[in-house]
Amino acid sequence: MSEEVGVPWDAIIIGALSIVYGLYCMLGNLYVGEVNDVLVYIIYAICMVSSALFGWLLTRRMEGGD
Amino acid sequence: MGYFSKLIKGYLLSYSGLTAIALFFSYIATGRLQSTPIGIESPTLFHGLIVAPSEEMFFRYFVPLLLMYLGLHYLAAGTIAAVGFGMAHWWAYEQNMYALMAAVAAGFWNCIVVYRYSSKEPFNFTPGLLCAMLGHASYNLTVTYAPEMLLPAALVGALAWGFMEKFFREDEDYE
Repeated sequence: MSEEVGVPWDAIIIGALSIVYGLYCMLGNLYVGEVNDVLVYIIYAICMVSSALFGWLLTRRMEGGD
Repeated sequence: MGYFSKLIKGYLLSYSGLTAIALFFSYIATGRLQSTPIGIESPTLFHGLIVAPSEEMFFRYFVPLLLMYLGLHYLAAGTIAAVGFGMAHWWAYEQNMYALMAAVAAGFWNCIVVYRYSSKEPFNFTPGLLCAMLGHASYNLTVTYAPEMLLPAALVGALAWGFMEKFFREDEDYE
């Protein structure tokens, strides 16, 4: 490990809000799109959540000195 | 105050840089100052709210962090991630080499923004990653809905960033 690192909570909070707002748009009548777009939304949402989660876990591991 | 000063400066640098990169590669490819057409007709939701934050979270946070765990410096890790970011646009840009090079350059640019505007010791990506997310989202919205505004947006963004850098430097060490 070359640097001490921390977790970007501000970006993670904004990312979480974007997922929630996207869901709100799709569940409500605000969104007019295609089924394919819903799949894209799900893929991107999974990508964001898994990146944040594994990033956090990796940071904890790095803090632990592994 | 220091946090928001950094956030605004990083956002302006990210947005104006991404816009300038798009214009530059567009000029090389077509001889005109318009953005390279991306060929995607998606609603605002995906370009602004999901695509940009998700891509930044993956390519400017997770992938570089993984490489940093292996011992690389953030800038080296971010450069590798930027190449991956460009390659990830292979299908979206329909193998257009100019658009792919623009994506790699944009990835590298946002990597610099994240590094420049994140607090160090510990390097916690704050607020640099958020700057990159907001800049990327704003760029996506501009190129989708008002591509004719790219040049003025790049100029105004760069001027505003220069103004902020000159007059709001005392807040750099807010940590």
